[in-house]
Parts: sequence; C-alpha cells; structure tokens
Amino acid sequence: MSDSMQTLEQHTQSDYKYGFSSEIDTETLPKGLNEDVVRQISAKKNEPPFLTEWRLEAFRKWQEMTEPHWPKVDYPAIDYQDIIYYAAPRKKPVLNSLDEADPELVRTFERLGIPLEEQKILAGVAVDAVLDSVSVKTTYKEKLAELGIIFCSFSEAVQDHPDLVKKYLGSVVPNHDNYFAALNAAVFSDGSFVYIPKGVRCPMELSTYFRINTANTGQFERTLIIAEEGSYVSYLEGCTAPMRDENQLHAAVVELIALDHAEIKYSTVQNWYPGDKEGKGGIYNFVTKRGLCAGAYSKISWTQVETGSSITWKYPSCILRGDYSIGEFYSVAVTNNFQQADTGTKMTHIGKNTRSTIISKGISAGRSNNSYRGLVKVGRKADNAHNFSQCDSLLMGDRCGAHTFPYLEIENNSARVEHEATTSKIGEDQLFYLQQRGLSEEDAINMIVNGYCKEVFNELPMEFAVEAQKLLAISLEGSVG
Amino acid sequence: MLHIKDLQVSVEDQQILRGINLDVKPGEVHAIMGPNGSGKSTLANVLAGREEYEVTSGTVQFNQQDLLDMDVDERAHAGIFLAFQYPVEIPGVSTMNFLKSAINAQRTARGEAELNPMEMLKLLREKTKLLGMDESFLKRSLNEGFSGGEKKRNEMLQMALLEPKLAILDETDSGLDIDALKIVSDAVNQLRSPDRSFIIVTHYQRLLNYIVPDYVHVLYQGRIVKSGNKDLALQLEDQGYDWIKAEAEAALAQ
Amino acid sequence: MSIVLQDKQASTREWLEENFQQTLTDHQQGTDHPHAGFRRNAFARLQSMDFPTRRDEDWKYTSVNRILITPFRNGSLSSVSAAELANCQIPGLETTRMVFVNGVWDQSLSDLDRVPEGLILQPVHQAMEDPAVRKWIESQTARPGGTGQNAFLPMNLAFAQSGLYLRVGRNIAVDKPLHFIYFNTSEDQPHFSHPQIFLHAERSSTVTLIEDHRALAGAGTCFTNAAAWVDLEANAQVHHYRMQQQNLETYQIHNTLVNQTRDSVYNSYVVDLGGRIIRNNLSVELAESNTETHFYGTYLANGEQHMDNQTFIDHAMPHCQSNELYKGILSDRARGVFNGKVLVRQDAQKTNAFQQNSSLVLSSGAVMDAKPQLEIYADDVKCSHGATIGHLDETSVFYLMSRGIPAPQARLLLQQAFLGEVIRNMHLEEMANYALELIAIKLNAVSQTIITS
Repeated sequence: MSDSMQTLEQHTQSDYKYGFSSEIDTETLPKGLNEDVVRQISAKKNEPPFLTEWRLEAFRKWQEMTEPHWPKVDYPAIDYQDIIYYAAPRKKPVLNSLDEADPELVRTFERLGIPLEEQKILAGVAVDAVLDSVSVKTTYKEKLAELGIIFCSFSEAVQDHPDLVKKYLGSVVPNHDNYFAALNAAVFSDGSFVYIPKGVRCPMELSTYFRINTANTGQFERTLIIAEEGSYVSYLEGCTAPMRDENQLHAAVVELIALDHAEIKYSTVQNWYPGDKEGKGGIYNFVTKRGLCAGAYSKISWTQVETGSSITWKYPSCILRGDYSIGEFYSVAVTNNFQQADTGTKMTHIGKNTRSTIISKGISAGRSNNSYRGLVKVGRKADNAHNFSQCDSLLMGDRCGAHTFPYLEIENNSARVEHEATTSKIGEDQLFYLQQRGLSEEDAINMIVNGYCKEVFNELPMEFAVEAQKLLAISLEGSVG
Repeated sequence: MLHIKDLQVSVEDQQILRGINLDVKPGEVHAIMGPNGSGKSTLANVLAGREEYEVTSGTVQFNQQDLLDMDVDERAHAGIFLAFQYPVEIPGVSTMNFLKSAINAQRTARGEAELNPMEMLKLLREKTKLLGMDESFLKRSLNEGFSGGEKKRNEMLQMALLEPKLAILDETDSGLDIDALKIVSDAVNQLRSPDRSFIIVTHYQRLLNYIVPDYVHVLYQGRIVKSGNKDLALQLEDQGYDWIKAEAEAALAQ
Repeated sequence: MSIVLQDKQASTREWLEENFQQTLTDHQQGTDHPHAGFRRNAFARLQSMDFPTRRDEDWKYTSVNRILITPFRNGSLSSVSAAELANCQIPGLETTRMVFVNGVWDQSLSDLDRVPEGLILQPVHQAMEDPAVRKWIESQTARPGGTGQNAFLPMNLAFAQSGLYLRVGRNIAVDKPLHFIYFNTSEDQPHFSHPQIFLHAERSSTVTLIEDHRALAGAGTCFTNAAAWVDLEANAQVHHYRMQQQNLETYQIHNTLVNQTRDSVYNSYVVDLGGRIIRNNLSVELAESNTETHFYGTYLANGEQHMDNQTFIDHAMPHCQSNELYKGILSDRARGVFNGKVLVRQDAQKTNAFQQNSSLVLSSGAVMDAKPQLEIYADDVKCSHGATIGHLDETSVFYLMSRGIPAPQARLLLQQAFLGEVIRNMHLEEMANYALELIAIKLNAVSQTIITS
C-alpha cells in the first residue's frame, strides 16, 4: 500500500470524541417489557386514559409482529426483555435559567461543543435538551409563546395540550406502522412537541439535542410537529451518545404534519456512538420518520447528515397528499470501520402536481456497508407528479461496500420520474492531483469530501452546516500531520 | 536545472525505468517519445512524486535540491508542474475554488502574500482569456463533465497561472483536434523563457511542428536509447519504432 | 406461432435469393473478383441467420415483419433535378458532395473533382482489388459489433450496389465535410437500397461525414438498409452526422459499427424526422485507452411513425469517456424506443460513462419505451444513466402565453428548446442551425395537423 493510501486510512481511523458518560442520578424501571411496564410508564407520566389505551393497543400489536430483516444490515438478535424502558433524572428540575441545571449536565453539553448559553446568545436557537428520556430544560419558550407557538417536551404537551396530541398522535405513523414504531408507541418516554399556529413564521430555528445516557436504556423518543395553514418552521435535531460496550437500541418516531401552504424543514445531524474499530458497541438506530403534506402547496424537507450509529435503518419519508405539495430529502450518510447503514426515503405521490426531490450522498470507508434504499411511488390519481432522484456513492478504500436500491412504482403515466446514480472512488489520483498543484494532504481531502457533499450541506441551516463539515472531518479525517 | 542520474523505478516489483540519465538546462525544451509501455508516463509521474512508483536507484537534483526527498506538494512549491495525461475529476469543487487554493498555497509556501479576491479575479480572467476559454467554466466542478479537449486546456491554464520552473507535459496533445492543439502549443510557447524548462512527453510527432523542441529523446524499455533534435521525431513519424528497437536490442546483445 | 414466422422468413428468403442472383449479374463481377466472393460469403451468412423477431430482447419493441413481407428489388439510377439537389444544400456550409439515387452512386452529380487531398475515396469493389484494403474491410465486417449483430448487416454486404471506401491519411485534417446524399425516388416496384460506407481514419486524422437520407415526392414504399463501418486509428477524430427525412412509407435500418483505438474521438449526431419504421443500431468498441465518444440523438415522430435507437458502448480499456444524450418528441400514435447499453469490462478502470434519454410524449396514444442498461464489472468507474418520459410543462406554456405568445407557438418554442439541447452539441454551427430548421419545419407541420383535425 502506498503512503498516500495509508494516510487516507489514518484519516478514516479517528476515534469517537464524545465517548464519556455523565453521572446523573436516574430513576429507572427494571429491565423487561410487559403490559405492566407500559401502564407504569403511562402512570409515571400522569397520562390521560386515551394515551394509556393507545400505548397498550400498540404493545398488543407489537407482540404479534416480527422484527423486519429485509434491510442490508447484519446484527445479533436483540433481547427485548433485557432493556430498561424507562429512566428519568431523579432531581425533577423546574428550571428558570441555565444556572439551575445540573452542573454535570451543563458540562456534558459543553463537552459536546454545544454550550447552551453561547447558542442562546450567538445563534438565537431555542434548545429543548433531552437527557435520556425526560426533558430538563427548555429555553425561549416564553418568547415563542407570544406568537402562539408551542415548543415543549412531549410530556408537557400531553398535560397542557391533550386535544392537539389526541388529534395528531399516530395520524402519520400509526401505532402499528412497523415493528419498531409499534414498540416506540408502547413505551415512548418523551420527546418534542411543536405546534405552529396558522400564518405564523417561526422566527428561529428550533433545536433539540438528544443524548442516550444510562447504560442499557433503549431510547424511545417521539416527536410531533404540526404546522398549521400558511406557517413555517425549521427544526434541528442533533444526536450524540456516549461510548458503551453494549449495543443500545434507539427506536424513535417523528411525525410531521403540514397543512395548506405550510412548510416544515427538518434537519438532523446524527453522531451517535458508531462502535469501536473492531465493530464492538455502538447504537442501533431504527427510526421511523414520516411527514404528511396534508394540505395543498405544503412542503416538507428532510435534511440529514448521518455519521454515527453502528447500524442505521432509517427512511425519512413524505406523503404528498395535498395538490402541489412538495417533498424533499437531502442526505449525507457516512459509514466507517464496521458501521452499517441502510437509509433512504419514501416519496408517496397522491395529490396532483406533486413534486419530490431526493439527493443522497453515501460515503463508505473501512469495512463498512452503506446502502441507499428509496421508493418513489406515484399513485393512480397523482397526475403530473414529478420526481428527481440522485444517488451518489463514494468509496474510500476497497474493503467497503456501497449499494443502491431504487424502487419506482408508477401507476400514472403522466408522471415524470428521473433517476441518476453514480459510484466513484476517492483515491490516490485525486489526492495526487491536488497535491501536485501545491495543496497539503489535509486540505486536499477536505476539498474532495466537502465538494462531494456540497449539494446537501447547502440545504442545512448555516450553524448546522459548519457542524456537519466538522463532523465529517472527524469521522473521516482525524488529525493529519 | 534538472539532473537525472541512473534513475531506476519499479511499480509493483516490475522494473519500468532501467537507468535514465537526463540533464535539462534552464530554457530548454526536451521532447520524450517512445513506443507504448516504454516508461514515458512513469518518468513524468516520478518527477512529480507519485507514490506508487518506487525509486530503486539513482538521483534527481532539481535546482540543487534532492527532488526525490520532497513531498508532492513541496515539489509543486519548488516549481515542478505536471500536466496530467488523465486530469482528475473532483465533483463539487469549483474550478475557481481549486485554482485560488492552489495559487495561494504556492504563494504562502514561497513566503509571498496571498492574492486578494480582486487580484485573483483579474489574474484568472486574464489567463482564461489567453487560453480561449469561457469564464463560465471557472464555476464548473473541476474537470467534471469536461471534454477531453477542455481538460487539457484546463491543465494549460493551471500551468499559465502557476508559472512553474519546470513543466512536464504528459501526453497533453493526445486526443486533441487541430484547434485545441494550437491553443495548447501557444500556451507553451508563450511561457517559454530563458529560465523555464519543459519536458514534453508525446506519442505524436504532430505536436512538435508547433512546439519545436531543443532535444528529442526516445525511450525504449526504460532507457533513453536515442537522442537528437526535431528531425529525429520526423524520422520516427515516417519509419516507426522498429529500427530503434532493432538498434537498441543489437546494442544490448553486444 | 413459430411455424407462421418461419413461413414468413421463408418467403423473404425467396425474394432475397432471386434478387441476389440479379445483383451479381448487374454488377458483372466475374466469379474471381474479390468483391463477388465477398458478396457470396455475406449472402451465405445471411441465409444462415434468422431475421430478428420481437422475442429477441434487442428487438422487443420493434417488429420487422412489415418490412420482410414486401418483396423489394434493388433500385436503379434515375434522374434528380437540379432543384431537388439545390434543396439539399446546407446553408452556409461548403461540403464535398456524393449523390446516390435508389442506392446507386450518381457520379455525374458528385464532386468527384473536388475530393480533398489526403483522402482516398473509391467504390468498394475497386478498393477490394488492393489486398491490404480487402483485408482491412474483412476485419471490419468480422467484428462482433454488439447489438449490431443482425441479419441486416450481411444483407447490406451482399446487396450494396455502391458501397464506398474512404481512407483519411495520417495527420490529414479534411476541413470540408463529406456530404453523402441518399435519395429514394419513385420506381415501378418497391425497392430497397443498401448505403454502405467503410471509413478508415488513419493516425491523427480528422474528418466529418454527413449522411443525408431523404425521399423525393412520390417515392412510395422503400426500404433503406444502411450500414457504416468506422475505424479510428490512434488520435483520429471523426464527426459522423446522420440526417434522416424519408417519407412515411419508408423503412430504414441503419447499422453503424465503430472501432476506436487510443486517443481517438468519435462523435455521432443523429436526427430522425421521417420514415415509417426506423431502427438505428449504433455500436462502439473502445479497444484502447483514453478515447472519447459522444452520441447525440434526436427523434421526432408523429402519426404512426416508429423510431427505435439502440446504442451499445463497449468499454474494454481504462480511461475512456463516453457520453450519450438522446431526446425525442412523440405525438399521435407514434412510438419511440431507446435501448442504451453500456458495458464496462473489468479492465476498464477510470471509465466515465454517462447516458441520458428524455422523451416528451404529447398524446395518450403515443408510447415511449426506454431501457437504459449499465453493466459494470470494474470498481473504479463513474457511470450514470437517466431516463425521463414526460409531458410538455404546462407551467412554461402558461408563462409564455402570459407574455402574449399564442399557445400553439408557445408549445412549438418549448419543443424546439427541448430538442435544441441535443442539437447545440453539434460541432458545426451550420449543421446545428440546419437541424433546428428541419425540426422547426416538422414541428410546424405536426402542429398544423393537430389544429386542423
């Protein structure tokens, strides 16, 4: 192997920088899952009877379902009775300011590089931080409240806005949608809730940082975002998890609803623990994310930068029911070492004149496997539907794999469906070329990778785009020279 | 300027260059010709510092420095420019961004100040015009979707911008039509100066009608087996390489 | 079913047999003339082959039955008026012209005195008297040829009345394009013709060839079975245009087989406007490294027209680049087919292969079948393909109308722009303008029939 290839390998062998575990007292239920556990979770959260019933219904259906194995991922069987389904910080915090937060928690965020104070001041971002399962801190709530915007933890929403929750919960992802969504419906502990009233343009990016913390705690968040007629919201989700030896299951559900002329932009930077270089440990990230463009001219846009998790199984989707509605999916998925990702999207065209765009950029390094799996479905009545898909794969080294599985189901012949796919390899050629023109090796690699991901980074809000580039650098480059 | 002494090079344990000796003085143009697989491109790539070629013996001095001891980018900073036989495509990186980065990296390495955006733009405009290229091409991704001719012209643009001390052209004329060939030749001829040298690796004598070399060398089986002036190239065009091969093999047999 | 088919082909073989004897007699070539032997070999090969049926994957969407049931005869020379000839002038472009009528070379109308220096142009039967050339021709016809391998190739070789052999000498850049005009005119019986070109571009040479297929008024049912073999030596550049304006009763099958060696560039530009059934097989073998290949195709079909483009690019060596862009417009009950195959063999690392096919389908009776196929066995390559089938963008029509442009004109503009994206890649501006003009004329005619019916 030549020197430049070795350097390339070094770049792809950097260590996970967020591997620490903060010591906060937690109150946990015993391991295992049965109807009692579901009832206890619901009771601990003081939920209304409709929700308890909804959870139990989901649990009963889940018991009849089997775990899906069609994704191109490979992992040992999960023992669902060996998981703790509820953990909450023992100090029930009711905080007015950051000073009142657990200092350990604040330090955790600081080590993550997201100091709340700084973000509040500099970026004007409202942060709803979830530590394990119960939200402990919400900022900017009052300011948002003036506009009638509700941005709170899911638990609070259940207490304060039960009608909204009842109306929309499960309306996009039913409680029996799939195996992991049903599991989530039965045991979800908390998450975020956003409601944007009619005609309101949310003046700031809403942001939540999730963190999986307690060992062996499956994390089951649930996010519900409702954008009323003519409203707009941009929501940022960032995820980091500390290093653990055992795999941790993460099965979240995100539901988005956009009514007439409403727009939701949902951005994710996912950097959960990917496991070590031998493939040990890491997060199983089995997520159901779906948006419903319910109204005419509504728009839902998913942007994701996925660098973490040992296994990612995730297809943020759009149901384009409203006429002239628009769905978008922009994704960068990076896998290294023994990571596996099977990710993509589903665009379901139901309304007339609907449009969807899919831009997927996969980067595979080490011995990882990276698959794009996407469905474009045009229903019988979806006249003049238009889809554009572009799926690119970049290989670093020759022991990794890139796979593309596009599915096109077109039932209306007025549809215009475009699909492009490329597979290329970053290698000595590109590096040598740039270096021959005088660039250093590190600059050369940065230039190549960022160039490749440019179309997706362009879709991210500014502060997230910077973080995404940093993450990519960490995942692929490490310290040069 | 450049002194190559007994240069021997292997790729994957197979010996390609078997002892090259070549002196290039400032201002000279050397053409290197030879049949397929004779080692022409290997020589060009070794001088630029390509890693997978292993130098097993010999020395290369470039302006009193040991060239073989320098990294690829250090050689570029020292004034070595390689016009690639296969210019590399880099998606998403605009040609403009790339050119700026390269120019400023080299200036910084030489201890000169970086060009400010206005100076940069002026320089880029001037040189693109010189090469008969449309400015819109600066916005396109580096070499991506370029035709063969555009790629080669882009190489010449980079040469004009970076103003190297030694430019090595590796089959820059291959696949070009007459018009593009003239543009490439003009770019070289305009840069010819008493302190700048060229090594031109080519497969086709046609190029040498436009860029008249001081010396023509024939590479065969990893050695320079014959040297002469431009007439040698004409002789090769007429008679092919068989007589050279025969001569070389006869010499070896002795 | 298969019996019926065999019967059909049997009757075809009968009229071919009769014709072949006639062809040999017509050309009065003694049995010892190399071309006669060459014809006989080709005819023997034709007899041993079946004509393609729709059960052959490559002919799935195009049936040649309609062609084969007509007992065609070889055509003969008839006069073409000066006005008709003037009509073929490509505005602003000076060319060296060769004229063929019903498959026969009309030397009196051809620019024989203006054959460019460095170019050898001879009838195939004459060229074959030189053993070296004969060997070269035989090596060309022996190529496997990808999708081009079909019974129509030996048919062309057996029946061609006026095949031409072209050789462009080393380092020669032929600056005036060669313009080959193939007329079909009225004859007593349906006739077939076999335009045939062997083009040998030597090292570092450059040449532009324009094939121009057209029918004069009243030509009736014809079958043009054209074939071209193009061999590019190192560093050669060939621009190959094919403009097709047959009448609506004419069938045309065109096989082009190209072989590229190192550093060569081959560009194909195809404009199909006329014909009842049109089938193009374009096949390129990239035998050495650092080649460049561009295919630009357009098809504009209405009524019952059927236009089928099959392309095949065989990447066998590293560092080659191929690029295909085919676009077409279909209206009424027209049918379009695009089947583009790109094979990237194991040794063909650093290949760049792009392919795009887009069609506008303007009525519910029109059909487009697109089948892009990428077969990749090398791991360090960049390949992409795209296929779109869609309608005219009504938002754009609305936009133009809102600026005062009447709807029919707005639609025309957009259709021209759609095909213009392909046409503007033509390396000769005069050819691009000419093609756009022909397209505009046809689009106008089509829109007139829609308005009046």
